[in-house]
Amino acid sequence: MSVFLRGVITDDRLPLVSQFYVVGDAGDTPVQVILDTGFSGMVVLPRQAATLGRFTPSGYASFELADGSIVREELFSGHMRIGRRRLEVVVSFTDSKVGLIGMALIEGKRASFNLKTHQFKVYD
Amino acid sequence: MPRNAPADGGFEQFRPQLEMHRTRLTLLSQATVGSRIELHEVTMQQVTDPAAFAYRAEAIYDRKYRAVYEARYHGQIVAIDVPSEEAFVGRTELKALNKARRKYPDHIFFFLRVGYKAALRVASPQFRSQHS
Repeated sequence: MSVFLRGVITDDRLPLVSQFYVVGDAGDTPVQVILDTGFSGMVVLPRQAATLGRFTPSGYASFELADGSIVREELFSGHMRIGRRRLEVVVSFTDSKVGLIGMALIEGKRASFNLKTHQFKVYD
Repeated sequence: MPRNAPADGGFEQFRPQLEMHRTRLTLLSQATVGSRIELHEVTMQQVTDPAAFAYRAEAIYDRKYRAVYEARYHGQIVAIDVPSEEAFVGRTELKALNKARRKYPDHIFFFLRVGYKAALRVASPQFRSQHS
């Protein structure tokens, strides 16, 4: 069983994904993202990352936020890289400096969180 | 131009398609009217009013798909193509998008989750919409 992604759990208990990159024409750029089991989609990136890759408009979707409010966001398709693995993903953007990887990106995989060693892994 | 031809050269009937595709066209002189128009660059469909786009997509879904899909595809993602009123279903937004793009590569779509009030859920405080 191979590791799809891995990372460290920070002191404030955020699972920070290692080796996550936005694939762009000028090269791949590392971006800070956390694995968020409360996010049902694929990827949310900081708005500053929009210039790092080639993002194709895909449409719009409604998001339900934690407070129950509904907002509408634009979706894009683009390419990311986790470790050596390049993936096509659907992306939206946030004003936060930290991006999110959601449950849709790890669909069908197995995750383990070790809060003793502060590490997590998602297996194929 | 023929004597009874419309003043606009008959192009008015194609305006919806042209508006939809936002195609960059080379202007033709009178001498070349009737020749084949080469599409040098096709850009993505543009939506100037996302709220109206969403409203239309949800109305299409309610009218044409909701009854059947809620029994058959609960929890899956639907990409609605507003101009054609077609729907494409997938387990993730990428799978629905890829099905939709195969048929309409230059369109954009509205995404819904069958049986839910929003396509996506974000519980994390990291996510702050520009609209919220």
